[in-house]
Formats: sequence, C-alpha cells, structure tokens
Amino acid sequence: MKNLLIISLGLLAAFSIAAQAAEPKLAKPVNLEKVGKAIRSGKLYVGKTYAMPEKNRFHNIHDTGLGLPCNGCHNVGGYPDDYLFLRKAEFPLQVNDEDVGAVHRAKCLACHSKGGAGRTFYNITQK
Amino acid sequence: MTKLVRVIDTERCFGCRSCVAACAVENHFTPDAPWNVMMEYETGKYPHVARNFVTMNCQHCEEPACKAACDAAGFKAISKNEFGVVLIDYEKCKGCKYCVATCPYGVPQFNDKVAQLYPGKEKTAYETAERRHPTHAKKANVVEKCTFCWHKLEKAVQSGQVGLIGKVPEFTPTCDLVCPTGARIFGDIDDPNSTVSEYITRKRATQIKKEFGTKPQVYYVLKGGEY
Repeated sequence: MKNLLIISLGLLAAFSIAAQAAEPKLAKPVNLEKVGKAIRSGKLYVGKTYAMPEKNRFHNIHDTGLGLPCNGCHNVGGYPDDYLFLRKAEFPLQVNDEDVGAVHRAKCLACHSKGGAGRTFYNITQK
Repeated sequence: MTKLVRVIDTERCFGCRSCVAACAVENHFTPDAPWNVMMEYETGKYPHVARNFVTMNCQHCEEPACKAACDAAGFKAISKNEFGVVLIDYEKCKGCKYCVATCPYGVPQFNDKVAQLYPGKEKTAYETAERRHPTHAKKANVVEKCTFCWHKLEKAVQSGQVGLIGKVPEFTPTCDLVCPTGARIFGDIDDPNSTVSEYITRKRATQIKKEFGTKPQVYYVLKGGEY
C-alpha cells in the first residue's frame, strides 16, 4: 500500500512538471515608464538615425526597446473604406516584397498623449 | 486675432474633384505626394445605399502632432504661424517621416523623388521658374503637404489686407475658389460675423478625429453627424 502511494505521488509530480514545461513562455512584461525614461536619458541606446525602416531608431524603440510584436501596431491589411485618412490608398505598403499593414493611430494614444510613457504628441490627458 | 479655418460641406460635395485638380495646378503637387485627396466610400445596405465624398487636406491643427514629433526629433522643420497655418520648411526637413507616422489624418506626404514632367525633353516653364515660392520648391526626400495656399495668404498679410482673406480670389486658397457647389468655405473663425463662423454654427460643422486632441482647423458638415 505504501509503495502504491509513493508511485502515485511520483507520477503526479512527473505530470505536473511535464505540464509546466509544455506551457508557452510569455514575454516578460516591460515597464513602459522605465523604458521611456531610459530612452530619453540615453541609458538605453536605440540608435541615432531618425527614420522609419526597421533597424532605425523608430522601430528600435517600439520593437526592440518595448518588445511590441509587429501586429501590435500593424493591421493585416489596409484601412476600412469609410476611414478618413488621406494616405489610405498606400496600404498595405510593399516593403521587401512583403505587405506592411496600416497602423491605426489610436494605438499610439496610450503612450503618446499627456501622462503617457512616451513623448507627448497628442494633446489629450490619459486618465 | 485671426484664426483661419476651412469648412467642407459633405452634404453639398458630389465628388467632382475640382478642388483636387485646382490644388495640383496651384501647388504643383506630384501624383505620389498629393496635398488634397478625395475619399469616396459607400454606406448602408442595398437598397438603402449612399455614396459619400469627403475631401481631405491638411487639417492645420492647433496642436499639431506632426510638429510635436518633428520637434522631439530635433529638426524643428514644422511651424505654426499666428494665423494658424502649419508649414514645413523643406530646408530643415530631413525626411525622417516622424510627422507621417504621427498625423492622425495621414496628411504629410513623403516625396522621394523629383521627376521631370516630360522625361527626356526640355523642362517646362513651371519647372524652371526661378521665383517659385518656398512652399512650392520641389526637393527630393522631404515631406510636403497642403499650406492653405500660404503663398496667396502671405500677400494679404504683407499688404495689410488680412481682412480680405477668404473674401477675394487672390487671397483665398484655390481649392475653395473652384468648388462648383460652394461646398468649401474659407475664412476667419475669430470673426463672429464671418461666413465660416456663421456656417459652422448653422450647419453644426465639426472637426474629425477629435479624440486625438489635435484641434483641427478644418471643419466638416457630415451626413452622419459628428464622428
């Protein structure tokens, strides 16, 4: 009886470890405030070239610095038909034969309005 | 004070694109970098459908996100003058496109090349004009956009005739002059008796994408109400 109990507990522990190993690893949450301050103070180097293509400052901040996935900003395709945006026809953009989806500027508001972690571009206050 | 605004009445606009063509001629914009664009889309479900026309140009925001981004990048190429007109200095612009990335209206246009109008032939008089206004100077790898036809408004300012802006053709943006249905009006919103002030109040014209807090100086009369 004692042996049976030990075997059962052993199997339970093994299943538990296996289940833990199978769980997908989540990206470490980033403290936006700290990263923002580190970028602005120069402690976190994100490049000197102010330009949009990847590996330049803009993408270095958002993907490398903040760990945002591409689809965190880019939609799959273009803008909806009734969306009032002057450059709407450009999207999806073709970069290196790949479609680059549109970015809805509402996504920028979280960090780039007053009180956000990034530079203030939009004159509204985060609650 | 004078705060210049434009009102676009989408209830009157029928999508003829006269304003787009007039802007192209007046400001020499290139097809890849248009300053004025007609948005066209359908709403509703058959049989109750409607075709909507909305022209878009620079909104000349009171709190321009493009200027904030340009200043943050350290180039300071974008300015807003005392009449509320947002302008880009092509000599200072480095083509980083931060303004393109931040504008909620998709207005700034990156011009990656200056192509000859008729390749392989002699340049036209337009292309060789020496006394072209700085806002019309074509330069590769800079960002361009609508200037409210500042080259015309500037003449009113220089001649002390600011009061005539929006009232006489030589001091009114060309797109607003050519509209066959009178769907575009330009003038001083700080003057309570101006046509724009009266029109905005009477037709409940509103700014679009207010949620960005940029306070645009272009007002729209929209069929679906405020949005």
